[in-house]
Amino acid sequence: MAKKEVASLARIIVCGHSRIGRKVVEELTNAEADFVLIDPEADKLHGQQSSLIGDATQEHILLGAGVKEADVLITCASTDEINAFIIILAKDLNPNLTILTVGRNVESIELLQGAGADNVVPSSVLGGRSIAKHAIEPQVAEFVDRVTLTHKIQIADIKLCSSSSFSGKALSESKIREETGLSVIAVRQKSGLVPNPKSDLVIHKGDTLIVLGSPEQIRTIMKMEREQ
Amino acid sequence: MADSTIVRRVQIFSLTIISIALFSTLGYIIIKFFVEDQRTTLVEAFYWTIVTLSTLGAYGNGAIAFESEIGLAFTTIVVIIGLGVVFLGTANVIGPWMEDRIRVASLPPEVSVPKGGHVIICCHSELTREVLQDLDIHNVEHIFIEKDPPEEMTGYLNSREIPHILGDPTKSETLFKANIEKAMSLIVLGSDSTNAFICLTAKKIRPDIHIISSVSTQTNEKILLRAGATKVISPWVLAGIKLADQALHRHDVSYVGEVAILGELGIHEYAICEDSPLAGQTLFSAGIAHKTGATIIGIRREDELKLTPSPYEKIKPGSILLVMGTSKQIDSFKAMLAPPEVEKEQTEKGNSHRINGKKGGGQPG
Repeated sequence: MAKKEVASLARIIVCGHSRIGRKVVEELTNAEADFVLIDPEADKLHGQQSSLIGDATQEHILLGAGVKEADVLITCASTDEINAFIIILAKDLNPNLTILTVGRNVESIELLQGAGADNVVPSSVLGGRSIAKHAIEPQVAEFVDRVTLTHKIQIADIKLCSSSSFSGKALSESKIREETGLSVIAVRQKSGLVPNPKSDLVIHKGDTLIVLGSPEQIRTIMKMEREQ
Repeated sequence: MADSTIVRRVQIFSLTIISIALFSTLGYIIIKFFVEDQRTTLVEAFYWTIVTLSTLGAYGNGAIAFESEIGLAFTTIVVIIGLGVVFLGTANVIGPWMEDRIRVASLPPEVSVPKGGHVIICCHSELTREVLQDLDIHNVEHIFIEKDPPEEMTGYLNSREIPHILGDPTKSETLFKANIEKAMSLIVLGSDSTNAFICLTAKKIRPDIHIISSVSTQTNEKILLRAGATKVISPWVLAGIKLADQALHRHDVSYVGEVAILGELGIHEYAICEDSPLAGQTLFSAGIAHKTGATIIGIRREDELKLTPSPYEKIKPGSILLVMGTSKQIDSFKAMLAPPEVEKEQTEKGNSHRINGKKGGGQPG
Protein backbone atom coordinates (compact mmCIF):
# COMPACT_ATOMS: atom_id res chain seq x y z
CA MET A 1 0.00 0.00 0.00
CA ALA A 2 1.32 3.35 -1.03
CA LYS A 3 0.64 4.89 2.36
CA LYS A 4 2.74 2.36 4.20
CA GLU A 5 5.68 2.98 1.92
CA VAL A 6 5.57 6.63 2.81
CA ALA A 7 5.27 5.75 6.45
CA SER A 8 8.24 3.44 6.49
CA LEU A 9 10.41 6.05 4.83
CA ALA A 10 9.56 8.63 7.41
CA ARG A 11 11.33 8.48 10.74
CA ILE A 12 8.84 9.56 13.35
CA ILE A 13 9.52 10.53 16.97
CA VAL A 14 6.61 10.64 19.41
CA CYS A 15 7.14 12.62 22.64
CA GLY A 16 5.01 12.47 25.72
CA HIS A 17 2.78 9.63 26.55
CA SER A 18 -0.41 11.44 27.44
CA ARG A 19 -3.88 10.15 26.56
CA ILE A 20 -3.37 11.64 23.11
CA GLY A 21 0.09 10.10 22.83
CA ARG A 22 -1.33 6.69 23.63
CA LYS A 23 -3.70 6.98 20.66
CA VAL A 24 -0.92 8.24 18.37
CA VAL A 25 1.22 5.23 19.31
CA GLU A 26 -1.71 2.88 18.71
CA GLU A 27 -2.39 4.37 15.27
CA LEU A 28 1.25 4.32 14.22
CA THR A 29 1.64 0.74 15.43
CA ASN A 30 -1.44 -0.32 13.45
CA ALA A 31 -0.08 1.39 10.36
CA GLU A 32 3.24 -0.43 10.92
CA ALA A 33 5.06 2.89 10.84
CA ASP A 34 8.63 3.23 12.01
CA PHE A 35 8.72 5.37 15.11
CA VAL A 36 10.58 6.03 18.34
CA LEU A 37 8.69 6.82 21.50
CA ILE A 38 10.14 9.08 24.20
CA ASP A 39 8.35 8.86 27.51
CA PRO A 40 9.30 9.02 31.19
CA GLU A 41 7.27 5.88 31.78
CA ALA A 42 8.12 4.05 28.59
CA ASP A 43 9.20 1.01 30.61
CA LYS A 44 5.63 0.47 31.78
CA LEU A 45 4.37 0.16 28.23
CA HIS A 46 4.73 -3.09 26.45
CA GLY A 47 4.80 -3.94 22.80
CA GLN A 48 6.71 -0.94 21.52
CA GLN A 49 9.58 -1.89 19.27
CA SER A 50 11.64 1.18 20.08
CA SER A 51 11.03 3.35 23.06
CA LEU A 52 13.26 5.57 25.11
CA ILE A 53 12.74 6.18 28.80
CA GLY A 54 13.25 9.84 29.56
CA ASP A 55 12.17 13.41 29.37
CA ALA A 56 11.86 14.89 25.88
CA THR A 57 12.67 18.37 27.17
CA GLN A 58 16.29 17.23 27.58
CA GLU A 59 18.61 17.65 24.64
CA HIS A 60 20.52 14.39 25.04
CA ILE A 61 17.29 12.39 25.09
CA LEU A 62 16.10 13.94 21.80
CA LEU A 63 19.54 13.34 20.27
CA GLY A 64 19.45 9.76 21.52
CA ALA A 65 16.11 9.27 19.78
CA GLY A 66 17.75 10.36 16.54
CA VAL A 67 16.18 13.78 16.15
CA LYS A 68 18.85 14.81 13.61
CA GLU A 69 17.87 12.03 11.20
CA ALA A 70 14.13 12.14 11.86
CA ASP A 71 11.54 13.61 9.48
CA VAL A 72 8.57 14.07 11.77
CA LEU A 73 8.27 14.81 15.48
CA ILE A 74 4.91 14.48 17.19
CA THR A 75 4.77 16.06 20.61
CA CYS A 76 1.72 15.57 22.79
CA ALA A 77 2.88 16.30 26.33
CA SER A 78 0.29 17.07 28.96
CA THR A 79 0.66 20.86 28.80
CA ASP A 80 1.10 23.44 26.06
CA GLU A 81 4.16 24.83 27.88
CA ILE A 82 6.06 21.53 27.73
CA ASN A 83 5.08 21.08 24.08
CA ALA A 84 6.35 24.57 23.23
CA PHE A 85 9.63 23.81 24.98
CA ILE A 86 10.10 20.52 23.10
CA ILE A 87 9.25 22.21 19.78
CA ILE A 88 11.85 24.96 20.23
CA LEU A 89 14.50 22.46 21.32
CA ALA A 90 13.81 20.03 18.49
CA LYS A 91 13.65 22.73 15.82
CA ASP A 92 17.01 24.00 17.06
CA LEU A 93 18.56 20.54 16.74
CA ASN A 94 17.02 19.84 13.33
CA PRO A 95 15.53 22.80 11.43
CA ASN A 96 14.17 20.50 8.68
CA LEU A 97 12.01 18.55 11.09
CA THR A 98 8.25 18.58 10.50
CA ILE A 99 6.71 19.13 13.92
CA LEU A 100 3.15 18.19 14.76
CA THR A 101 1.69 19.05 18.12
CA VAL A 102 -1.53 19.28 20.05
CA GLY A 103 -2.89 22.60 21.35
CA ARG A 104 -4.95 22.17 24.47
CA ASN A 105 -5.89 25.82 24.77
CA VAL A 106 -7.21 27.53 21.69
CA GLU A 107 -5.25 30.62 22.75
CA SER A 108 -1.90 28.80 22.58
CA ILE A 109 -2.22 27.61 18.95
CA GLU A 110 -0.54 30.72 17.62
CA LEU A 111 2.20 30.52 20.24
CA LEU A 112 2.95 26.91 19.33
CA GLN A 113 3.10 27.84 15.65
CA GLY A 114 5.41 30.68 16.56
CA ALA A 115 7.60 28.21 18.45
CA GLY A 116 8.03 26.25 15.22
CA ALA A 117 5.19 23.75 15.01
CA ASP A 118 4.20 22.98 11.42
CA ASN A 119 0.74 21.89 12.42
CA VAL A 120 -1.17 22.30 15.65
CA VAL A 121 -4.12 20.01 16.29
CA PRO A 122 -6.50 21.80 18.66
CA SER A 123 -7.96 18.97 20.75
CA SER A 124 -10.92 20.89 22.19
CA VAL A 125 -11.91 22.31 18.80
CA LEU A 126 -11.74 18.86 17.23
CA GLY A 127 -13.82 17.28 20.00
CA GLY A 128 -16.32 20.13 20.11
CA ARG A 129 -16.90 20.14 16.36
CA SER A 130 -17.38 16.42 16.24
CA ILE A 131 -19.87 16.51 19.12
CA ALA A 132 -21.84 19.37 17.56
CA LYS A 133 -21.90 17.60 14.20
CA HIS A 134 -23.27 14.46 15.79
CA ALA A 135 -26.12 16.53 17.22
CA ILE A 136 -26.91 18.36 13.99
CA GLU A 137 -26.01 16.10 11.07
CA PRO A 138 -25.60 12.60 12.52
CA GLN A 139 -25.14 10.88 9.16
CA VAL A 140 -22.33 13.19 8.10
CA ALA A 141 -20.71 12.79 11.53
CA GLU A 142 -21.06 9.02 11.33
CA PHE A 143 -19.42 9.03 7.93
CA VAL A 144 -16.54 11.18 9.16
CA ASP A 145 -16.12 8.86 12.16
CA ARG A 146 -15.95 5.82 9.96
CA VAL A 147 -13.26 7.44 7.84
CA THR A 148 -11.20 8.93 10.66
CA LEU A 149 -11.90 6.85 13.75
CA THR A 150 -12.66 3.28 12.85
CA HIS A 151 -11.11 3.25 9.37
CA LYS A 152 -14.04 1.11 8.21
CA ILE A 153 -14.17 3.44 5.25
CA GLN A 154 -10.87 4.41 3.70
CA ILE A 155 -9.66 6.87 1.18
CA ALA A 156 -6.80 5.60 -0.95
CA ASP A 157 -4.67 6.76 -3.85
CA ILE A 158 -4.65 4.32 -6.77
CA LYS A 159 -2.00 5.15 -9.34
CA LEU A 160 -2.84 3.69 -12.73
CA CYS A 161 0.03 1.62 -14.07
CA SER A 162 0.91 1.66 -17.76
CA SER A 163 -0.90 -1.60 -18.44
CA SER A 164 -4.01 -0.67 -16.47
CA SER A 165 -7.27 -1.87 -17.99
CA PHE A 166 -8.88 1.43 -16.96
CA SER A 167 -6.43 3.48 -18.98
CA GLY A 168 -7.94 5.39 -21.91
CA LYS A 169 -11.50 4.79 -20.77
CA ALA A 170 -14.12 7.16 -19.49
CA LEU A 171 -14.96 6.60 -15.82
CA SER A 172 -18.40 5.21 -16.74
CA GLU A 173 -16.81 2.70 -19.13
CA SER A 174 -14.26 1.61 -16.58
CA LYS A 175 -17.14 0.26 -14.42
CA ILE A 176 -15.13 0.89 -11.26
CA ARG A 177 -18.27 1.60 -9.20
CA GLU A 178 -20.11 -1.45 -10.55
CA GLU A 179 -17.25 -3.91 -10.16
CA THR A 180 -15.65 -2.77 -6.91
CA GLY A 181 -18.26 -0.61 -5.23
CA LEU A 182 -15.73 2.17 -4.84
CA SER A 183 -16.54 5.84 -5.37
CA VAL A 184 -13.95 7.78 -7.32
CA ILE A 185 -13.96 11.07 -5.44
CA ALA A 186 -11.16 12.75 -7.33
CA VAL A 187 -8.66 12.14 -10.10
CA ARG A 188 -5.19 13.66 -10.04
CA GLN A 189 -4.14 14.23 -13.64
CA LYS A 190 -1.21 16.03 -15.20
CA SER A 191 -3.41 19.10 -15.56
CA GLY A 192 -4.29 19.06 -11.87
CA LEU A 193 -6.79 17.61 -9.44
CA VAL A 194 -10.35 17.02 -10.69
CA PRO A 195 -12.66 16.83 -7.68
CA ASN A 196 -15.83 14.71 -8.05
CA PRO A 197 -15.15 13.88 -11.71
CA LYS A 198 -18.03 13.45 -14.16
CA SER A 199 -18.63 10.00 -15.57
CA ASP A 200 -17.34 11.00 -19.00
CA LEU A 201 -13.88 11.93 -17.72
CA VAL A 202 -11.26 9.86 -19.52
CA ILE A 203 -8.53 8.47 -17.29
CA HIS A 204 -5.05 7.70 -18.47
CA LYS A 205 -2.06 5.78 -17.21
CA GLY A 206 -0.12 7.77 -14.66
CA ASP A 207 -3.29 9.34 -13.29
CA THR A 208 -4.03 8.81 -9.62
CA LEU A 209 -7.57 7.87 -8.65
CA ILE A 210 -8.60 8.91 -5.17
CA VAL A 211 -11.19 6.34 -4.13
CA LEU A 212 -13.50 5.92 -1.18
CA GLY A 213 -14.61 2.53 0.07
CA SER A 214 -14.16 -0.28 2.54
CA PRO A 215 -10.68 -1.77 3.03
CA GLU A 216 -11.78 -4.91 1.13
CA GLN A 217 -12.98 -2.87 -1.84
CA ILE A 218 -9.68 -1.02 -1.90
CA ARG A 219 -7.78 -4.30 -1.74
CA THR A 220 -9.83 -5.54 -4.72
CA ILE A 221 -8.96 -2.62 -6.95
CA MET A 222 -5.30 -2.80 -5.95
CA LYS A 223 -5.25 -6.47 -6.88
CA MET A 224 -6.90 -5.65 -10.22
CA GLU A 225 -4.26 -3.03 -10.91
CA ARG A 226 -1.44 -5.38 -9.98
CA GLU A 227 -2.72 -8.25 -12.12
CA GLN A 228 -2.70 -6.19 -15.31
CA MET B 1 -40.25 37.29 45.85
CA ALA B 2 -42.81 36.11 43.36
CA ASP B 3 -44.22 38.67 41.00
CA SER B 4 -47.85 37.96 41.88
CA THR B 5 -47.47 38.92 45.57
CA ILE B 6 -45.93 42.23 44.58
CA VAL B 7 -48.72 42.91 42.15
CA ARG B 8 -51.27 42.15 44.88
CA ARG B 9 -49.49 44.48 47.30
CA VAL B 10 -49.41 47.27 44.77
CA GLN B 11 -53.16 46.78 44.23
CA ILE B 12 -53.91 46.92 47.95
CA PHE B 13 -51.67 49.99 48.36
CA SER B 14 -53.39 51.85 45.53
CA LEU B 15 -56.84 50.92 46.81
CA THR B 16 -55.97 52.16 50.31
CA ILE B 17 -54.72 55.49 49.00
CA ILE B 18 -57.80 55.96 46.83
CA SER B 19 -60.18 55.15 49.68
CA ILE B 20 -58.35 57.47 52.08
CA ALA B 21 -58.47 60.24 49.50
CA LEU B 22 -62.22 59.67 49.05
CA PHE B 23 -62.76 59.55 52.82
CA SER B 24 -60.81 62.76 53.40
CA THR B 25 -62.40 64.64 50.47
CA LEU B 26 -65.85 63.65 51.68
CA GLY B 27 -64.95 64.54 55.28
CA TYR B 28 -63.76 68.00 54.22
CA ILE B 29 -66.97 68.76 52.37
CA ILE B 30 -69.15 67.50 55.26
CA ILE B 31 -67.26 69.43 57.94
CA LYS B 32 -67.15 72.62 55.86
CA PHE B 33 -70.87 72.44 55.15
CA PHE B 34 -72.35 71.24 58.41
CA VAL B 35 -69.85 72.32 61.06
CA GLU B 36 -68.30 75.49 59.69
CA ASP B 37 -71.27 76.53 57.52
CA GLN B 38 -69.07 77.52 54.63
CA ARG B 39 -69.36 76.91 50.94
CA THR B 40 -66.83 74.69 49.30
CA THR B 41 -66.22 72.92 46.01
CA LEU B 42 -65.11 69.42 45.12
CA VAL B 43 -61.87 70.78 43.66
CA GLU B 44 -61.11 72.65 46.89
CA ALA B 45 -61.82 69.48 48.91
CA PHE B 46 -59.59 67.35 46.75
CA TYR B 47 -56.86 70.01 46.87
CA TRP B 48 -57.04 70.00 50.67
CA THR B 49 -56.81 66.19 50.69
CA ILE B 50 -53.68 66.10 48.57
CA VAL B 51 -51.95 68.90 50.48
CA THR B 52 -52.76 67.26 53.82
CA LEU B 53 -51.97 63.67 52.84
CA SER B 54 -48.68 64.72 51.36
CA THR B 55 -47.98 66.48 54.69
CA LEU B 56 -47.41 69.79 52.93
CA GLY B 57 -49.90 71.35 55.35
CA ALA B 58 -50.80 74.64 53.75
CA TYR B 59 -49.80 75.86 50.38
CA GLY B 60 -49.38 79.53 49.59
CA ASN B 61 -51.50 82.47 50.87
CA GLY B 62 -55.12 82.11 51.74
CA ALA B 63 -54.52 78.49 52.58
CA ILE B 64 -57.50 76.22 52.46
CA ALA B 65 -57.90 74.91 55.98
CA PHE B 66 -60.40 74.27 58.79
CA GLU B 67 -61.19 76.78 61.46
CA SER B 68 -63.27 74.62 63.81
CA GLU B 69 -61.86 72.22 66.39
CA ILE B 70 -63.58 69.26 64.79
CA GLY B 71 -61.93 70.30 61.56
CA LEU B 72 -58.51 70.44 63.19
CA ALA B 73 -59.06 67.00 64.74
CA PHE B 74 -60.08 65.66 61.33
CA THR B 75 -56.91 67.16 59.79
CA THR B 76 -54.79 65.43 62.43
CA ILE B 77 -56.46 62.08 61.72
CA VAL B 78 -55.95 62.43 57.98
CA VAL B 79 -52.29 63.36 58.43
CA ILE B 80 -51.69 60.39 60.74
CA ILE B 81 -53.44 57.95 58.41
CA GLY B 82 -51.63 59.48 55.44
CA LEU B 83 -48.25 59.12 57.10
CA GLY B 84 -49.03 55.57 58.19
CA VAL B 85 -50.06 54.51 54.73
CA VAL B 86 -47.09 56.16 53.08
CA PHE B 87 -44.57 54.67 55.53
CA LEU B 88 -46.05 51.20 55.67
CA GLY B 89 -46.71 51.22 51.94
CA THR B 90 -43.15 52.21 51.12
CA ALA B 91 -41.76 49.49 53.36
CA ASN B 92 -44.09 46.76 52.13
CA VAL B 93 -44.61 47.65 48.51
CA ILE B 94 -42.07 50.05 47.10
CA GLY B 95 -39.17 48.35 48.94
CA PRO B 96 -39.74 44.80 47.67
CA TRP B 97 -40.70 46.14 44.27
CA MET B 98 -37.40 48.04 44.01
CA GLU B 99 -35.50 45.01 45.30
CA ASP B 100 -37.12 42.88 42.66
CA ARG B 101 -36.29 45.38 39.94
CA ILE B 102 -32.66 45.45 41.02
CA ARG B 103 -32.51 41.65 41.13
CA VAL B 104 -33.99 41.37 37.66
CA ALA B 105 -31.65 44.03 36.31
CA SER B 106 -28.58 42.23 37.66
CA LEU B 107 -29.77 38.88 36.29
CA PRO B 108 -29.36 37.87 32.66
CA PRO B 109 -32.39 38.73 30.55
CA GLU B 110 -35.29 36.29 30.80
CA VAL B 111 -34.26 32.88 29.46
CA SER B 112 -36.04 32.21 26.21
CA VAL B 113 -36.35 28.45 26.17
CA PRO B 114 -36.45 27.10 22.62
CA LYS B 115 -39.86 25.72 21.66
CA GLY B 116 -38.63 22.50 20.10
CA GLY B 117 -36.13 20.92 17.70
CA HIS B 118 -33.35 22.45 19.78
CA VAL B 119 -30.14 21.09 21.29
CA ILE B 120 -29.54 21.08 25.06
CA ILE B 121 -25.91 21.37 26.17
CA CYS B 122 -25.01 20.40 29.73
CA CYS B 123 -21.90 21.27 31.78
CA HIS B 124 -18.92 23.51 31.24
CA SER B 125 -15.68 22.01 29.96
CA GLU B 126 -12.95 22.97 27.53
CA LEU B 127 -15.22 21.70 24.74
CA THR B 128 -18.27 23.79 25.62
CA ARG B 129 -17.35 26.97 23.78
CA GLU B 130 -16.51 25.16 20.58
CA VAL B 131 -19.80 23.23 20.71
CA LEU B 132 -21.79 26.44 21.32
CA GLN B 133 -20.01 28.19 18.46
CA ASP B 134 -20.67 25.31 16.09
CA LEU B 135 -24.35 25.17 16.91
CA ASP B 136 -24.44 28.89 16.28
CA ILE B 137 -22.70 28.50 12.91
CA HIS B 138 -25.24 25.84 11.94
CA ASN B 139 -28.05 28.11 13.08
CA VAL B 140 -29.49 25.51 15.42
CA GLU B 141 -31.37 26.73 18.48
CA HIS B 142 -29.76 25.68 21.73
CA ILE B 143 -29.83 26.12 25.48
CA PHE B 144 -26.99 25.63 27.95
CA ILE B 145 -27.32 24.18 31.46
CA GLU B 146 -24.64 24.51 34.13
CA LYS B 147 -24.89 24.45 37.90
CA ASP B 148 -21.99 26.74 38.63
CA PRO B 149 -20.35 28.28 35.54
CA PRO B 150 -16.96 30.02 35.95
CA GLU B 151 -17.03 33.80 35.61
CA GLU B 152 -15.57 33.92 32.11
CA MET B 153 -18.23 31.49 30.92
CA THR B 154 -21.04 33.60 32.39
CA GLY B 155 -19.58 36.63 30.63
CA TYR B 156 -19.40 34.71 27.37
CA LEU B 157 -22.99 33.47 27.67
CA ASN B 158 -24.32 36.94 28.44
CA SER B 159 -22.34 38.72 25.74
CA ARG B 160 -23.50 36.22 23.10
CA GLU B 161 -27.03 36.15 24.51
CA ILE B 162 -26.96 32.37 24.67
CA PRO B 163 -30.03 31.08 26.54
CA HIS B 164 -28.89 29.30 29.67
CA ILE B 165 -30.21 27.84 32.88
CA LEU B 166 -28.31 27.88 36.16
CA GLY B 167 -29.23 24.50 37.57
CA ASP B 168 -28.18 20.92 38.11
CA PRO B 169 -28.50 19.04 34.81
CA THR B 170 -28.66 15.69 36.60
CA LYS B 171 -32.06 16.71 38.03
CA SER B 172 -35.08 16.08 35.87
CA GLU B 173 -36.75 19.38 36.76
CA THR B 174 -33.79 21.27 35.26
CA LEU B 175 -34.07 19.24 32.07
CA PHE B 176 -37.80 19.92 31.97
CA LYS B 177 -37.05 23.64 32.23
CA ALA B 178 -34.89 23.30 29.12
CA ASN B 179 -37.89 21.75 27.33
CA ILE B 180 -36.29 18.33 26.96
CA GLU B 181 -39.64 16.90 25.90
CA LYS B 182 -39.36 18.62 22.54
CA ALA B 183 -35.56 18.79 22.14
CA MET B 184 -33.81 17.30 19.13
CA SER B 185 -30.75 16.16 21.03
CA LEU B 186 -28.78 16.47 24.24
CA ILE B 187 -25.03 17.07 24.51
CA VAL B 188 -23.29 16.26 27.80
CA LEU B 189 -19.77 17.59 28.38
CA GLY B 190 -19.16 17.00 32.10
CA SER B 191 -17.04 14.43 33.91
CA ASP B 192 -17.67 10.82 32.95
CA SER B 193 -19.78 10.12 36.04
CA THR B 194 -21.85 13.32 35.69
CA ASN B 195 -22.43 12.51 32.03
CA ALA B 196 -23.61 9.01 32.84
CA PHE B 197 -26.04 10.37 35.43
CA ILE B 198 -27.45 12.98 33.05
CA CYS B 199 -27.91 10.25 30.41
CA LEU B 200 -29.90 8.17 32.90
CA THR B 201 -32.08 11.14 33.90
CA ALA B 202 -32.69 12.24 30.32
CA LYS B 203 -33.50 8.73 29.06
CA LYS B 204 -36.06 8.33 31.82
CA ILE B 205 -37.90 11.42 30.57
CA ARG B 206 -37.37 10.83 26.85
CA PRO B 207 -36.33 7.24 26.03
CA ASP B 208 -35.92 8.21 22.37
CA ILE B 209 -33.66 11.24 22.80
CA HIS B 210 -30.39 11.41 20.89
CA ILE B 211 -27.55 11.95 23.41
CA ILE B 212 -23.97 12.78 22.53
CA SER B 213 -21.51 12.53 25.38
CA SER B 214 -17.85 13.44 25.73
CA VAL B 215 -15.63 10.98 27.61
CA SER B 216 -12.29 11.55 29.33
CA THR B 217 -11.28 7.97 30.07
CA GLN B 218 -11.68 5.82 26.99
CA THR B 219 -12.67 2.72 28.97
CA ASN B 220 -15.72 4.57 30.31
CA GLU B 221 -17.25 4.64 26.85
CA LYS B 222 -19.21 1.43 27.41
CA ILE B 223 -20.59 2.74 30.70
CA LEU B 224 -21.89 5.89 29.00
CA LEU B 225 -23.41 3.85 26.19
CA ARG B 226 -25.15 1.66 28.73
CA ALA B 227 -26.39 4.78 30.57
CA GLY B 228 -28.12 5.80 27.37
CA ALA B 229 -25.69 7.85 25.28
CA THR B 230 -26.25 7.45 21.54
CA LYS B 231 -22.70 8.49 20.69
CA VAL B 232 -19.60 8.84 22.87
CA ILE B 233 -16.74 11.03 21.71
CA SER B 234 -13.24 11.36 23.14
CA PRO B 235 -11.43 14.54 22.10
CA TRP B 236 -8.12 12.87 23.02
CA VAL B 237 -8.69 10.01 20.62
CA LEU B 238 -9.66 12.42 17.83
CA ALA B 239 -6.53 14.50 18.40
CA GLY B 240 -4.30 11.41 18.56
CA ILE B 241 -5.67 10.03 15.30
CA LYS B 242 -5.36 13.42 13.62
CA LEU B 243 -1.69 13.65 14.59
CA ALA B 244 -1.00 10.14 13.30
CA ASP B 245 -2.92 10.86 10.07
CA GLN B 246 -0.81 13.93 9.44
CA ALA B 247 2.45 12.11 10.17
CA LEU B 248 1.44 9.32 7.77
CA HIS B 249 0.12 11.72 5.08
CA ARG B 250 -3.26 10.07 5.16
CA HIS B 251 -6.26 11.58 3.43
CA ASP B 252 -8.23 13.38 6.00
CA VAL B 253 -11.81 14.47 6.51
CA SER B 254 -12.28 17.54 8.64
CA TYR B 255 -14.91 20.02 9.64
CA VAL B 256 -14.54 23.54 8.33
CA GLY B 257 -17.20 25.95 9.46
CA GLU B 258 -20.53 24.36 8.74
CA VAL B 259 -19.23 21.72 6.37
CA ALA B 260 -17.40 18.43 6.66
CA ILE B 261 -14.86 18.45 3.87
CA LEU B 262 -12.65 16.00 2.10
CA GLY B 263 -10.09 17.85 0.03
CA GLU B 264 -12.23 20.33 -1.92
CA LEU B 265 -15.48 18.43 -1.48
CA GLY B 266 -18.14 19.15 1.09
CA ILE B 267 -20.29 16.43 2.61
CA HIS B 268 -23.94 17.10 3.46
CA GLU B 269 -26.99 15.14 4.45
CA TYR B 270 -30.51 15.62 3.11
CA ALA B 271 -33.72 13.89 4.06
CA ILE B 272 -36.08 12.85 1.29
CA CYS B 273 -39.61 14.10 1.93
CA GLU B 274 -42.81 12.53 0.58
CA ASP B 275 -43.23 15.01 -2.28
CA SER B 276 -39.61 15.07 -3.40
CA PRO B 277 -39.22 14.17 -7.08
CA LEU B 278 -36.41 11.80 -6.08
CA ALA B 279 -38.63 9.65 -3.87
CA GLY B 280 -39.30 6.25 -5.38
CA GLN B 281 -36.44 6.34 -7.84
CA THR B 282 -33.14 4.51 -7.73
CA LEU B 283 -29.88 6.39 -7.48
CA PHE B 284 -29.27 5.47 -11.11
CA SER B 285 -32.69 6.45 -12.49
CA ALA B 286 -32.65 9.73 -10.58
CA GLY B 287 -29.46 10.54 -12.48
CA ILE B 288 -28.03 12.61 -9.65
CA ALA B 289 -24.39 12.06 -10.56
CA HIS B 290 -25.10 12.70 -14.23
CA LYS B 291 -27.17 15.86 -13.76
CA THR B 292 -25.41 17.52 -10.84
CA GLY B 293 -21.95 15.97 -10.61
CA ALA B 294 -22.52 15.35 -6.89
CA THR B 295 -21.83 11.86 -5.58
CA ILE B 296 -24.14 9.99 -3.21
CA ILE B 297 -21.68 8.41 -0.82
CA GLY B 298 -24.21 7.05 1.62
CA ILE B 299 -27.86 6.36 2.18
CA ARG B 300 -29.59 5.87 5.51
CA ARG B 301 -32.79 3.88 5.70
CA GLU B 302 -34.39 2.97 8.97
CA ASP B 303 -31.48 2.35 11.31
CA GLU B 304 -28.67 1.59 8.93
CA LEU B 305 -26.21 3.88 7.19
CA LYS B 306 -25.06 2.24 3.99
CA LEU B 307 -21.93 3.74 2.51
CA THR B 308 -20.98 3.73 -1.17
CA PRO B 309 -24.43 2.39 -2.12
CA SER B 310 -25.00 0.59 -5.41
CA PRO B 311 -26.57 2.64 -8.24
CA TYR B 312 -29.69 0.46 -8.01
CA GLU B 313 -30.36 1.39 -4.40
CA LYS B 314 -33.92 2.76 -3.99
CA ILE B 315 -34.56 6.24 -2.61
CA LYS B 316 -37.60 6.15 -0.34
CA PRO B 317 -39.40 8.96 1.48
CA GLY B 318 -37.67 9.27 4.85
CA SER B 319 -34.30 8.10 3.52
CA ILE B 320 -31.39 10.37 4.24
CA LEU B 321 -28.86 10.85 1.49
CA LEU B 322 -25.23 11.62 2.20
CA VAL B 323 -24.06 13.81 -0.65
CA MET B 324 -20.54 14.84 -1.52
CA GLY B 325 -19.62 17.58 -3.96
CA THR B 326 -18.31 21.06 -4.59
CA SER B 327 -20.61 23.82 -3.36
CA LYS B 328 -21.88 24.30 -6.93
CA GLN B 329 -22.72 20.60 -7.28
CA ILE B 330 -24.46 20.61 -3.90
CA ASP B 331 -26.55 23.59 -4.95
CA SER B 332 -27.74 21.88 -8.11
CA PHE B 333 -28.47 18.76 -6.08
CA LYS B 334 -30.62 20.80 -3.70
CA ALA B 335 -32.55 22.06 -6.73
CA MET B 336 -33.33 18.45 -7.72
CA LEU B 337 -34.37 17.55 -4.20
CA ALA B 338 -37.14 20.08 -3.68
CA PRO B 339 -40.64 19.73 -5.09
CA PRO B 340 -40.89 21.93 -8.23
CA GLU B 341 -43.29 24.60 -6.86
CA VAL B 342 -41.05 25.65 -3.99
CA GLU B 343 -37.94 25.85 -6.10
CA LYS B 344 -37.61 29.58 -5.51
CA GLU B 345 -37.11 29.29 -1.78
CA GLN B 346 -34.21 26.99 -2.48
CA THR B 347 -31.77 28.03 0.20
CA GLU B 348 -34.28 28.06 3.00
CA LYS B 349 -35.79 24.81 1.85
CA GLY B 350 -32.38 23.20 1.91
CA ASN B 351 -32.02 24.06 5.57
CA SER B 352 -35.42 22.77 6.57
CA HIS B 353 -34.72 19.55 4.74
CA ARG B 354 -31.68 19.12 6.79
CA ILE B 355 -33.58 19.75 9.99
CA ASN B 356 -35.98 17.02 8.93
CA GLY B 357 -32.99 14.86 8.32
CA LYS B 358 -31.71 15.44 11.80
CA LYS B 359 -34.99 14.52 13.34
CA GLY B 360 -35.23 11.42 11.23
CA GLY B 361 -31.79 10.37 12.35
CA GLY B 362 -32.29 11.16 15.98
CA GLN B 363 -35.71 9.80 16.69
CA PRO B 364 -36.82 6.75 14.83
CA GLY B 365 -40.51 6.74 14.09
